[in-house]
Amino acid sequence: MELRIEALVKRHGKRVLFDIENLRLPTGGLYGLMGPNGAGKTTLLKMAAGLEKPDHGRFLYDGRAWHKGLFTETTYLSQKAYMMNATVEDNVGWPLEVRGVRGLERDKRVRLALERMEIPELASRKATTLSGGEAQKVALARALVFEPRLLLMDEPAASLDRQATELFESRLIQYHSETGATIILVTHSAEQAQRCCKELLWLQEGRLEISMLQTPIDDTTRGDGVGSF
Amino acid sequence: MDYIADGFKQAFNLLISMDSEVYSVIGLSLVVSTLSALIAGLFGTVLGIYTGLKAFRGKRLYARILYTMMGLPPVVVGLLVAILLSRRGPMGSLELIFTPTAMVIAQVILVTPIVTGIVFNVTVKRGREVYELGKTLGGGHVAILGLFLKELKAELMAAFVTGFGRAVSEVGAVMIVGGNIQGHTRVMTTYIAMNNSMGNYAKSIAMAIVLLSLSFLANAFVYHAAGEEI
Repeated sequence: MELRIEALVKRHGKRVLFDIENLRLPTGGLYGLMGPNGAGKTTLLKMAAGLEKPDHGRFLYDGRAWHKGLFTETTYLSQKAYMMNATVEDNVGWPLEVRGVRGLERDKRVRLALERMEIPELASRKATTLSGGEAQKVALARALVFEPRLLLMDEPAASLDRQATELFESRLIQYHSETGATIILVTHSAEQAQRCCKELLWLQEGRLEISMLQTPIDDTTRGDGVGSF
Repeated sequence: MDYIADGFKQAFNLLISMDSEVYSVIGLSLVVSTLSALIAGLFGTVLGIYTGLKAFRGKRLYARILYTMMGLPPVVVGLLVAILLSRRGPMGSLELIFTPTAMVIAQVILVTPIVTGIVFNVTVKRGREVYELGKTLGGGHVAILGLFLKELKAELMAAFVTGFGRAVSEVGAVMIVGGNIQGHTRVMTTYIAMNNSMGNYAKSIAMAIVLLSLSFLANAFVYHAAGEEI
């Protein structure tokens, strides 16, 4: 799904959180989104997910303005995903059920999603009793099970250990190469952006800049050599 | 102090004697309070969820007013409803004053802000993330409402039980609009108040025991149904 930003302005009180002229993110990109704390990364992602409204401007999805049908093709994964008060299996199966996928087909896809995240043994566990890392794996399985075309992820690996982070990254890259979905990944780790993404979006002082990620980057010295869009 | 012990003894005898007046009073109380709690529960839940999720100008003021209304004095509500429904009042032609319907109306007015306030508070605190999860996973309005009711089941049940408790234990409003008419509008609380003023402590204590037991049973049932964890 192609994502385009047109004259987007968001304010928090009198402060302009961001003011982005125009930006086009072609279909199939895997973008890292970085920036200092408070720059508005979560707000930007939530607006792209249709959860918050800009003060001015808009996002276009394959050339169309936001419409409710997009909720079935996009998803947003937060830093600390909410777990429904149900089993892991039911959590992962919920997005399928609301799309009318039930019975054996639903069970098969849920099982596959859990196997891919290497957590099939958690299927019957109550999701609210999981550790932070386990819950985040379930959340990723739940986000990917219905194969969204636009995936917006807000530091999804923040609570994962090294091994789980590696699994998460490989699963994300695999999903991207298999489906060609457009993915925006908010991260504070330059290394993670380097490992997963081909392009980097840098949000600072209300401006969003895009650059290619071909050489390792150091997020403490960002600013030089970043192509302004 | 003996009269208190005697009161309990007589209360027990009264309860097992299947006194028809006692049981008709209990029956009417349950009907009026349950109906009031259900109507207020429906209004309050819808209003609480909607206003809790919706961002609008003056929401803070709305919350203050709502929380204030949770403590509406029953006699004031009773008085207002009585003025509206009295023969010379604007709705006098409906001839509802001193009927169980008038008691339900008064209790609905009394209980709706309580349910709305509790549901509003829960929705503001937890509802947003449930709503956003439902949306971002592609749920439609019905699916999200179902998810919402499931996730906040215990809290919504607690709101209903609180509303029922308020309705069943309230005396001021039902006394004014119902009139405590024997066999017609007499409920447990007005029965207790009347017998206490007449010195019939046994009957008052008997009914108080029933009232407490019913409140306990209603709580136990609802929390069990909500899948209590403690």
